Amino acid sequence: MKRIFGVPVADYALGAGLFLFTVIYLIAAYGYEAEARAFPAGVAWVMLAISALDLILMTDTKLAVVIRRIINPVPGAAVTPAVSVSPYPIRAQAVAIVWIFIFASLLVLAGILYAVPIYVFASMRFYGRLSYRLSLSVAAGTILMVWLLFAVVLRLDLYSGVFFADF
Amino acid sequence: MTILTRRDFVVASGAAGLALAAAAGGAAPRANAAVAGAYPQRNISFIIPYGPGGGFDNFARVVSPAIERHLPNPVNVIPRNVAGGGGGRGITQLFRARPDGYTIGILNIPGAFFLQERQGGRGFRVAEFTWLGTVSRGENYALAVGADSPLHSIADVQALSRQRPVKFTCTGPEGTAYSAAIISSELLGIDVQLITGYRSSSDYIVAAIRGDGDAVLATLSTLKPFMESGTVRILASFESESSVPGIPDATALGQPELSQIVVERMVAAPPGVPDDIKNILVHALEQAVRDPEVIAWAEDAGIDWHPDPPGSVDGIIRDQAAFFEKWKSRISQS
Amino acid sequence: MLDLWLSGFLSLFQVQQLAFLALGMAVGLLFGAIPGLGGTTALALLVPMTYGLDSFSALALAGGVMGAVPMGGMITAILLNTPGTAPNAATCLDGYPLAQQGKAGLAIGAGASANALGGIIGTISVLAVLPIAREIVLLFGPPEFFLLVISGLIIVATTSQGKVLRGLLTGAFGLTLAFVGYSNVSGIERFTMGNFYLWDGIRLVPSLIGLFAIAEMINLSVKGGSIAGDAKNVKITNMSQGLLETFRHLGTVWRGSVIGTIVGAIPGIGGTVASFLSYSMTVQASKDPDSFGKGNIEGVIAPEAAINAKDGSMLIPTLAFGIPGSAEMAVFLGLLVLHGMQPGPLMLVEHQVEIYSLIWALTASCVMASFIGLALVRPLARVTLLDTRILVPVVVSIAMVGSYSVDQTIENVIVTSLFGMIGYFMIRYDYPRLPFVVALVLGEGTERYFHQSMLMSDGNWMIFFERRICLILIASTAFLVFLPSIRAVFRKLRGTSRTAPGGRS
Repeated sequence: MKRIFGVPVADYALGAGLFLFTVIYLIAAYGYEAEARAFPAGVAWVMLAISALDLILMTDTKLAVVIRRIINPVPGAAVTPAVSVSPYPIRAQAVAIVWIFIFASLLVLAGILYAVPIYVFASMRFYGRLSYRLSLSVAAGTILMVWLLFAVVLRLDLYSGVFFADF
Repeated sequence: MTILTRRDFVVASGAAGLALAAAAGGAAPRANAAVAGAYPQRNISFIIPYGPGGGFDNFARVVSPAIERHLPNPVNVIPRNVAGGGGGRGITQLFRARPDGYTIGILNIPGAFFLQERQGGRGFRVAEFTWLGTVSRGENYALAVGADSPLHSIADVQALSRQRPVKFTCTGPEGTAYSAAIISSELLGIDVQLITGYRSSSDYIVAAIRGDGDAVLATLSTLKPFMESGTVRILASFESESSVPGIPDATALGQPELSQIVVERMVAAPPGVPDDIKNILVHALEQAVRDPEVIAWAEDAGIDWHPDPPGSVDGIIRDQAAFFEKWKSRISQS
Repeated sequence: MLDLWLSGFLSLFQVQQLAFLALGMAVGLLFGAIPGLGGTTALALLVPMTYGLDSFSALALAGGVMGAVPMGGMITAILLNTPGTAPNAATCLDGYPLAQQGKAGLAIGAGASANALGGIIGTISVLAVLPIAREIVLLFGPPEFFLLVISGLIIVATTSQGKVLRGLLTGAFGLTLAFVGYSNVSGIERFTMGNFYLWDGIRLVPSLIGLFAIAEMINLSVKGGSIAGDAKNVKITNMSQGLLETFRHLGTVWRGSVIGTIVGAIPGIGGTVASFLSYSMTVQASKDPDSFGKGNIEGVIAPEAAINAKDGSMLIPTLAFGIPGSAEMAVFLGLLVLHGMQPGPLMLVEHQVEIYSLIWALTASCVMASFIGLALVRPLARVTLLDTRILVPVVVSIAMVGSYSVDQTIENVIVTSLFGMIGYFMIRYDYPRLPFVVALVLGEGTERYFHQSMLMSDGNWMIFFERRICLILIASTAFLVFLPSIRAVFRKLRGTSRTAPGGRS
């Protein structure tokens, strides 16, 4: 995997993501008037600084070493290791995450009653590579449980999805 | 693969099943027998645009069974909480529902007007709803101070106002107390500063007792328990005729317009409901608010229950709309 | 006074009341376990059912629900890293690692007894405080609340062992998200992009379900196997061991209960913060702080004691002034009004017997729910042995539907998924989730209470230094924050060395 400042790119994912989020948030915050943006902007500026520091400390550069030495003597301060902490293949992680979003999209589009059994079946059969019979029976059991609990007992309207919406 | 013995599975699912059965049995849906013939043919949804447990929630839930009893066919009126957007979500849902008489809802007027202003008419236009009636007569406001306050009359408040702005505690610009404070202070000649951010009427009344602010505006029913326990002193009631002995009312203060500051609980249906269905609902509601069980509940709960005269709903909404229009710009200035 | 306690107790001991108590307890246990459902939904479901009942039965039902919900939530928190209710998220931090080590039984046993003890201590505190409840509520105004909120944030951020920087980062992240939505302080909506859903901000429960449950499910999908790792090495430890553990750590139980009682009484701050704060402070007070997040039993005992203690004290502002401290309390308030009991200053005078009966019901339900939990330890713990390929889709389904059912908004599911991804990254890249959660809960309060304080004092910052309670709060927070440094100094003087940083939270 490609390395930036001596650290695999993937390791920066969350740190960089938070930094980016803060920038966008700050830009949005300055769209509001002074009193309304006081707290959010204040927090965001601090977060920007901390996030930048976090990113630097992750790297394997001289700057990082210097900073680490500065803040180390303070008891309890952070010492973020410049070592990759994701031992699993990126692809496996991405696939697992994507399955969640597939389910979420199914829920929004097709509604609970259809999305749940489809997802459970598909996940067990295609992702987990389990038998058809097991996948089908667990899918059926799950939606039965969901229906009994939420629709019957709670008398909640189980969301019917964008495609099947009533109005 | 797994060590899930059948026995353990049975025990766990048995326990879960028992709990489920208990819940299901405890909350069994009522029988739903629709009779052939005109409207209504199936259950009616009663949208409450707030979470469970609020004043509107209670009113809607108490009145629903009564409405059922006065519909031509035996169907259920099912209260549904649709919270979110400060009420906007539920109101929008009501606005967009099919005007077939199977969805009605309860609205806070003028709260809904404020919401529309604040949310830019995003989902609904209050003026276009089909109005069915009110749940009980609109509630007037009253001005109160904490029992330890040095203020004992409106004159005191006005005197204080000449030295510095009088601080009123309330929820926020989306609430009715906020506008009530602005309107009433203008009418009474009080320079007002609002401390917003409290979460509920009880919250900001307690704030006044505690001394966060100087005074507070709230509906009489909300203030009553506090008054009766001696923690709060009501300085004036904005009713045209004070229901609290010894307290000046709007007439006595020379400002009859104060009595137009009310909180109405109005029941509405989506725009465009056909007249015959509308009339059935209007009639059922009128009967429901005069239902002896409902009146008994109100008495038990210490609520002042006065149904509005039949046929008055259109006049009420018209008056409220006009009042809101008149004061709209003054309120949004603050 | 004592006769009131007695009449409250006796009024509970009628067949009908006990039946409703049992019903409430069963429902509470089930709803507590399912993420997204909880006391609020359970009460909302049962309130209409109580319409024709007498007040004692209704209160027995409500007490039954409220007392049992935390126990239900604890079970899924430990077994599946899925907090059944928001406060149980703190239990996930050490409860789930214990389950992963095959010690689910131990964790549930300890948690159950912590539950019961915490509930009892909380009840006693409430009964003691109730007569002076009004005075206490009146002592705390916006300046005090502001300092409380700030203290909570500071304490939690600074106790992320060895990861203070990242703790501050995730805490700041939580704060930024807390400001999303409509603010009745300024009367405008921020960061919502005109979206209706975001008007109410980032909901806590859907984000917690994502952050803890979904994140862990993603983690399990990647890892494979089953929660409790290698099936051969697992021993389902029995409950007596768990019970004993709690009694060995009575100090932790005590600390957790006290924190729970105090924080629970503060409206709007309540449950989640109570359990996380209790967890944080136990970590701080421990001799082995780095063992937390990896399966330290105290990490289960502390939050669970706090959660049940808070249930009692949450009633204080609700009953004394009709100020609900949480959505659950708001529904409960509705139940009271429905039965003609107007909460407020009069309630404490006119309906004393009912109040005591309620408190007894709450306690009884809490204790009995613990026993039931203990009885079910063996079959429940088997879940940790299930293959993740079956477990994950089922748990994800129920968690997502639960998230939706919080207020029947499908957008919750999107929030949950996003936080699932973020939470997973936080696990994998070792960013602490605890400060994030607390910041999300406390964030909007920071601004609101500050704003109100400024309006009260006409912009004078000295208001925070002039009021008695404020000064006490500042002093105690400073003390708590500098405590580890002070102890480190003492340890150095005594010659013990510091252990290396680490741990997961």
